[in-house]
Amino acid sequence: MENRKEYEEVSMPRSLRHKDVICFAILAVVITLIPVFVESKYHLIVLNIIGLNTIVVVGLNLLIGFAGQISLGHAAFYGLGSYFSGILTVNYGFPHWPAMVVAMVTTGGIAYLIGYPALKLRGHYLVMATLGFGIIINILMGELEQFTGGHDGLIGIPPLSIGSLTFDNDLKSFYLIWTFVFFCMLAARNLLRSRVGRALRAIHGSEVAANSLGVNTASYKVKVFVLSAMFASVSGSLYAHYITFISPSTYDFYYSIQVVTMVIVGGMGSLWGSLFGAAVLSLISEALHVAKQYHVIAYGVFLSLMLIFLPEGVLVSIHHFYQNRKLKKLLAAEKGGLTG
Amino acid sequence: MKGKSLVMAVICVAVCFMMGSPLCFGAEPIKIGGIFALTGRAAHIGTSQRDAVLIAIDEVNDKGGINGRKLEMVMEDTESNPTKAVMALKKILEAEDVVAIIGPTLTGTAMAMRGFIEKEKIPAFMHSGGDVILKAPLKKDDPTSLPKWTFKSPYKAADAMGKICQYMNKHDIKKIGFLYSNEGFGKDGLRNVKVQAPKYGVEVVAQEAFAPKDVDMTAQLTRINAKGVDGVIAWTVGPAMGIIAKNVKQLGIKAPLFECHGAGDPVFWKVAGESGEGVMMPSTKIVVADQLPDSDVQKKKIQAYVKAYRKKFEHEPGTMVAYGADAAFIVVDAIKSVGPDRAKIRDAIENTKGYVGMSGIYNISPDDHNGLSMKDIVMIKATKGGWKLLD
Repeated sequence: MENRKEYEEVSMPRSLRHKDVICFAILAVVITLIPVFVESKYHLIVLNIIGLNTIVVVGLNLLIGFAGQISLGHAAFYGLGSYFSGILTVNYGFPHWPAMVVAMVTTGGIAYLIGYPALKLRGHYLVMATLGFGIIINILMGELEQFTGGHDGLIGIPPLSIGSLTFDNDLKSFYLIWTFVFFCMLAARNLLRSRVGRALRAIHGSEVAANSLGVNTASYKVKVFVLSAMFASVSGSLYAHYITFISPSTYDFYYSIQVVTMVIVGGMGSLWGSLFGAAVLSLISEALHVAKQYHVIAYGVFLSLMLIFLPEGVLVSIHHFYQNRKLKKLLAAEKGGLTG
Repeated sequence: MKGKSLVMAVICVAVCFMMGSPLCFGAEPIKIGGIFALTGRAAHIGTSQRDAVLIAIDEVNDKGGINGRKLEMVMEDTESNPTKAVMALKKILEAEDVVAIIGPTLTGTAMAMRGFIEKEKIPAFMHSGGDVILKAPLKKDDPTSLPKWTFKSPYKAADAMGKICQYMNKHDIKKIGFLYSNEGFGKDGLRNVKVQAPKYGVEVVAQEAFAPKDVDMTAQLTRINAKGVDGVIAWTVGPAMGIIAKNVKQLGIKAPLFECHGAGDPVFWKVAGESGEGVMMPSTKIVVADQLPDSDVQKKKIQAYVKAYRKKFEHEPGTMVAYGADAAFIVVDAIKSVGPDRAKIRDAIENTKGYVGMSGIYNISPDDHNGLSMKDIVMIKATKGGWKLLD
């Protein structure tokens, strides 16, 4: 016990924990205060979409940034969450919250079935598996008309509610969605600071080394994949109850690419980078609408520049820049000390 | 010297402000929201509908606006994506004091926006093809909860299919093959053909599907042809329209080819090339304005509009331009008669009777938020890079 405590303190410097606490406190304060300054429904819906994307991106970042595996099928998990929630509540009269849990567990189970064989293999087989899976699910959404409503979509999904409080407008949904964002990020942070997190980091560093140290890499990778699918599913359920209408075109291949891009822009393996990536890309794509129909080109140029000049992601790059400067200063001081 | 330039600068700024302010132009403009698919997969349809609405607005403003107030459109892009469409709607409603919405283009985006339109109580005249936006109840367990604030200008897809079948019946085409793209629009066509064909004594003996992005349909067409059909209907928009026309020529299929009511557009000739010759389709009258008999009540109006369209954009309008124009003109008429009040505009639109538009004669009622009938559709034939009106 004594030993363990010591180990924890070595592996997790006190300052870092403080920093995390401060960051989460700031996030909580910002979430609470934003609606005081933002009244426009449009700005709120943009923030809500950012929140929904953040949940997916945090989950995906666990997979990409820590297990070193890429999924191109997260639109499918997001969609499964939406459709399970939607179908269960609309067609079968399920209560909302249990439907959401069923959606999450089922999506996790499906992810396990895909991840188990694909992640046993070394290399990027998961990309291929999820790519195909994403497209198949998207087709099924359109084809299974009696359940999904086909391409016409599923209408009349009820908004979420707790007791007499119904989350039926943008402001209430804002608090709901961002509470989920907060706890999802907190969960991810705690996971990363645990034994599992350290194992994941080890896998990301070197799979062979991790294996040789007794980390069951395949099992960890499957678990983190399942977890990230469940994050996406929760976000999808929230989306369905917020917009109250879902159709297959929301969950196409493009969405999978979009969330992967958010992970990369924010910074792989950076928790706050996930929030940053989701926010920046969602905001940029909205802001560029001033360029009329050229906004697609502007968006592409922006992304290319980002990947050329900040390939590690914005937040991680900034972090490295400051670390380098600190290091240089230290070196210079040391040099000065030596000569002087 | 320095003081002088400062004074000049101040004057310049002041003048700029005054130019922008309503003081210079009289009353503040009346604003309507335009939501179109300007990018994404339906961009070619969305942009032509936007152009159509712009012409209508120009026309109103050239005649002095509405009661001395100019009409202005605030435009947003749906990117052909349902979530973005809802965001666009909220953006417009929030930022501007709009009295009505025109658009969106795609059925999927319209379905996503519909609930919010009803909640915000703003009249919306949509351009989406799918009948489902008017027919599907807002609440699943209440079949009477039909949309109150939502209208659509394109004629019903079922009527377009009926028109083709009627034409076939007249020209002794009895056994047909149906080829459709495997997505919303194509599947809707499949449902419709199964209802409409038997009404006119036409039998669907073969049905084949293809993926919207397929580049070759010879396999499907060969199977259809093997059934000895005397007509083929292809239900799709986009490049596939052209590919099918080419494949039919390559295979030497003698049975005439019919395409959907979205094909009558310059885009058709771009994708089909010479193979487009002889393909028939239902359409609005806008593409064959000059061939209409003089007795047609729509003729003069359409010709005048087409002239303005050619002048502004220097190309021919496609069939879908008509929907954009009609939505805009009906909304404008409503604003003219009742003033810029959302609820009154809605009622006025719902009471539109015998309105002579580009797509037909609109008789809108509480039960029918579209108001067109099969009579308004014409059959046309692709001929020499243009269109020929069929009987």
